[in-house]
Amino acid sequence: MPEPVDLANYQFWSALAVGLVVLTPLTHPTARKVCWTALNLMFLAMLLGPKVAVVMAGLAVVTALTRGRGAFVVVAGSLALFVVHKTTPNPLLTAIGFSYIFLRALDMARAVYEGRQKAPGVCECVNYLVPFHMLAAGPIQSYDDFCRQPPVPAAPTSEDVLQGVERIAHGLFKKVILAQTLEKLFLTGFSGGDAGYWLFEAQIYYLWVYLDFSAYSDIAVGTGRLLGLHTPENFRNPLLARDIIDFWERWHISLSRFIRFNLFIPVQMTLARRTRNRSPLVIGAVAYLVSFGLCGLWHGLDSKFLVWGLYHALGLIVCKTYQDWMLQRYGRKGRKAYLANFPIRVLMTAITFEFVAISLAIIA
Amino acid sequence: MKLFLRLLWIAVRLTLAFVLIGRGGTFFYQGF
Repeated sequence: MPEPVDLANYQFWSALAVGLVVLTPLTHPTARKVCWTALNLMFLAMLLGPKVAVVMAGLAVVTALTRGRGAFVVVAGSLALFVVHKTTPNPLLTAIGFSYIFLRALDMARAVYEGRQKAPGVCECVNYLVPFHMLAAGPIQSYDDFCRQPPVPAAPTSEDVLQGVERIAHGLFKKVILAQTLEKLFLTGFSGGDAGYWLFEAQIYYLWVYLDFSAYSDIAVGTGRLLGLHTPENFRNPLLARDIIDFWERWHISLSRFIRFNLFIPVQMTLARRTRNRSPLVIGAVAYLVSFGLCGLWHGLDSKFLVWGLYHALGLIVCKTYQDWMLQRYGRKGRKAYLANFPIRVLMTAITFEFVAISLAIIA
Repeated sequence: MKLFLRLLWIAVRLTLAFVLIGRGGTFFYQGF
């Protein structure tokens, strides 16, 4: 039975240590790229056994050999695996966080298909799809972002190292101390009794999910900083979001970016072209429903997650309509003054917090 | 002084975290 990416085990820390020793001094672009690939495959081998690492390397070779045409193979293969992963839980696919690999594969295939990036080589395939520090829970780096990285980063300063270690410490503290304490003290799996406790638990559950999930991103970002690998930020104080649009710009930012560029904008543009943009509000609403419906199904292929996605889509539609109405009625200056009002801000933040807390309780 | 406090706070968090992990805490998000 394969083990999940468990930071209580030695694999992650060994890979980080090897990366620090091997990658940091390398200044030759190809040598660095090859070593980074070897490290990622080594991590897969430690986690899931050498066969999985060999299969991953083989897939990367096939993708590289088929050049641009491989994009379709990548999409079809990863979609099939994704459906398998979501319908019949597979310990191996769960262990490597396949849902994240699936989105990376789609992003890579689209970038290559549209000619924004060259077809990936073996190393690019492995390093983009299965970076050891982003396997557990993302972030979902875009392929464009991955390709924009300099082949050899600037030598890390002492401040870079300090910030990297600080970020890892911050993540560990959030996960192991704060999140686990909340979990042990208050979380009952929503079986704690009366409606009052259910509502209380919904608040704590939101806090717990944030601490737990963002902790992984902190560790990934810190690890990336230590190894000179660009790792996108995934959270920006989402608990302080003033509305649901703001929330999605602060929560799981890399997933929001993926949804915006690969679902929302394409759906919106297609509908606008076909209807000659006669009713932008309706087009926006449909784009929200489609993209967040699919976002829900990405989290889990069942009605519960679909409801969660549509609930967020409805929140976004109401929020966008309200923003447009405010703009028409009060103008830019009036709207800005309204939003700057402190009691209004507190009220909006509280409403957004409750909206998200209830949505998470739905899928708990 | 500021740097010392920063390092101390890093050390405290890392020590606490690894002590708890060593006592059987796991670090796996039952995610996706």
